[in-house]
Amino acid sequence: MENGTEAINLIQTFLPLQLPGLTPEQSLTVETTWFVMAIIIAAAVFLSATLRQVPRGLQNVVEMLVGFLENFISDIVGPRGPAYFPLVATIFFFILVANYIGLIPGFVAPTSSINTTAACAVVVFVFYQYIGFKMHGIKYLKHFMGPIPVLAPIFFVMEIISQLARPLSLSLRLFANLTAGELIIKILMTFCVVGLPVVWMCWESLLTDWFQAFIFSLLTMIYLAGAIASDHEEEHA
Amino acid sequence: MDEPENKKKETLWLAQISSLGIALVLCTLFGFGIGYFIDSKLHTSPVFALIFLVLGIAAGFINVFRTLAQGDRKPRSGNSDRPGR
Repeated sequence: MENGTEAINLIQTFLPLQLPGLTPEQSLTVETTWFVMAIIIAAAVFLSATLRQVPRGLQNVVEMLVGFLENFISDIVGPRGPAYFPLVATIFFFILVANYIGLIPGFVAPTSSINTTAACAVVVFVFYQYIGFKMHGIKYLKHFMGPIPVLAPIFFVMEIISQLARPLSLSLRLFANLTAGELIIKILMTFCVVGLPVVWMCWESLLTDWFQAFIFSLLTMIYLAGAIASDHEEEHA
Repeated sequence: MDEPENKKKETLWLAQISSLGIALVLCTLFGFGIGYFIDSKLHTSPVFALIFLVLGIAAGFINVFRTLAQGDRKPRSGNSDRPGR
């Protein structure tokens, strides 16, 4: 498995860097992440420079995705949703490109390293807790106390546990799906080089990669909605 | 209710339930982990590990219950304007 990744590694060929304090695999992940960032920034600059009234080519695809996400965020989070659109869209596009880059032979998806996914999940976690405190002040903690005042301490501890499990589940899901996908490709490669792995890659690109990016941003929206509307929801419940 | 609206709700619902199983397991493990950590600091094994394990399991189930209760509400409110329901 090790020499398989080492043999075809475009990033390390063009940018043979060993970042200080990191293992070779982590260094590769960081470099691939830079590459992903470069792609996204270049695409953003290019697309905003050549915006057309009637979209063509790439602008079509990106417009569709942005419209799709925007539609979802105002639906889930409510009227305040569009204010948080930049974070959700950034996470979506970053994970999408990072997932898809793993399908190009010679690249390893940065999201198949737990470090990348955990970083994304921690950003989301800190952000929505911050928004919750900013919206409701110290009353936000009341949301954790549960309905019965006597049982509040127990509910508080349980709520803390389930809140802390959220970033863990976010990062583990993405990491596990991507790692499993890459592992399957590698195993299929040992049987035959061209046929079956390509079929699997198509399957993965059509379903897993897209859906994982989507579900990550969707859960971000759901958590944000929970943090923003905590009091409001309870009154309605 | 029109078709795309319904589809969107279904997608949302799918995303939420797809995270239920993993959340249940992680809450349990996380609770046990916290208890184990406190035990190793205070040398009170296995008191806190057991307490936090139970709390973790309860947290996981409350999570499941809340999500399901929420989802139960949504389709009903969506269907209520249909005749015969």
